[in-house]
Amino acid sequence: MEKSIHTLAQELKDHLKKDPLAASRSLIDFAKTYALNPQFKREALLLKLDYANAQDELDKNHIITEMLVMVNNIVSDYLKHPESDLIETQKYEARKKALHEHLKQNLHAQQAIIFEGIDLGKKFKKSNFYLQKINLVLRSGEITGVVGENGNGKTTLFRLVVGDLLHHEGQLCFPGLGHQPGTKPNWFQIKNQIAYIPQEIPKWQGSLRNNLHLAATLHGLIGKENEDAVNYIIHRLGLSRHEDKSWSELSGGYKLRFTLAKALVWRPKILVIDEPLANLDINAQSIVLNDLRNLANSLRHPMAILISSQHLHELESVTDNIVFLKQGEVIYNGRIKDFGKERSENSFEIECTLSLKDLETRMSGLDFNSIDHNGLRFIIHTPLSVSQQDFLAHLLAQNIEINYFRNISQSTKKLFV
Amino acid sequence: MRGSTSNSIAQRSEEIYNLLAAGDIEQAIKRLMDFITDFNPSNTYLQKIIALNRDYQQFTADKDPQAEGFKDQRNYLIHQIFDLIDQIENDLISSI
Repeated sequence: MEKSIHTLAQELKDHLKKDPLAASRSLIDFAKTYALNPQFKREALLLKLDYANAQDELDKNHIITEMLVMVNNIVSDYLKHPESDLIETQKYEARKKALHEHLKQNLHAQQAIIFEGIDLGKKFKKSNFYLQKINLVLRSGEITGVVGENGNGKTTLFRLVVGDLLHHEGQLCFPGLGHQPGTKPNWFQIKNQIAYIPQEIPKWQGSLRNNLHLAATLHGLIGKENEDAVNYIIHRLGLSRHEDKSWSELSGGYKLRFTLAKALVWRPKILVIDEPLANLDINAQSIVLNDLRNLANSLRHPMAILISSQHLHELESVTDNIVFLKQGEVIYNGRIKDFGKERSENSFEIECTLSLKDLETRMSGLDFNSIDHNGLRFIIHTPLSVSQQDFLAHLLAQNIEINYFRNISQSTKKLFV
Repeated sequence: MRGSTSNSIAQRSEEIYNLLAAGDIEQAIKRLMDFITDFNPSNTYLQKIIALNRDYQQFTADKDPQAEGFKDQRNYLIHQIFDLIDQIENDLISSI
């Protein structure tokens, strides 16, 4: 049976008295569900923040009292409103849903195919390197990660996609950029919609702001549209404090972020970015990847992103698809969520001070298939019946001190082993 | 880390609310910029969010979270963010 608002309010008040920090989250949920006045929803959020930042017990107690009063106010406001008001609220929500459907129909289709390469191949006579049989589909709003060791064809693939190199085998087309299969590509038109950031970022002259205005102008954005696009990207990428700086005044990380701003200011349909994480600290990596994820997913200006990185776990956390290249050949090409679904064993990566022999002895009580050692870390392969929890419980029981642990059963990291 | 993959207007405004509830005002402002780009095609509110971001940058650079007035300024910013979302949603709803 569904609980009444009175019961829920009482439970919340009890919770607020026992564990105010955790309950402040429940207060927000309660306000979201029952507050007819949107002001309550805002105030619940502010009280949660106030409590988290409260300086002393007196302050905390004062905030708890305010939270308790708010629960009562939400209940009395809810109860005193006639049924018709509740219906009006529901009607408003229904209109919001209708709005979403309306927007979906009128905005660019996400997941539309922007690029398709079929059996693409490229041979280099001098080095005898052969990139072969690449089947790649880039969809609007999706991120495709390309991984593999250095010299295995990632940059070659990128240069084929952006039209810097001509392929020797296979076919490519850009349906989302006005190029249909079987027709001659208009490279001027195609390249005008692709942004390519190579690993070695080319140096530029002048301030960031002026460069952004120029990049936007070269892609047809003029007047207010140009000004808006530049202002948006500077603030969106958190560069406002540096907009007047020149190349020599910037760190490696900011050079990358500024180059990204230059590439994104004119809203490309495809962004190809080679090893962007190499010069970024951990925080900046997370910010850049998160920004790319959100910008690719834009409703009005969705973008297909092709990205490479040696930072596998970070990359896997934002990509939709992954391509693993080894000596020019595709080892895996598919959805990241599907990787390892058909696996025959689980794999756990750990770092500890034990020798391989000692580790094997200590692991003997657990059903495992094999242990690999890459010089730094151990990869322990177990039957599927051994879960991550079982594995960790065994490490604890055996008192094995570890400095690092990761379940790589569904990570392309396994392909590097 | 995975960023947002939801794209309904309700989910997007909820995402901003949740970022604010987690105290991540910087990311909330970023996502509000994206919200404006997606749901306010005429960019009527772009200048407002940029001004708000400037205020936020200034405010975080100058103030210690324990300093007097911090809470009021933070709350003022959060109300401004909510007001902008409401304005954009209402504009869109009244336009269909």
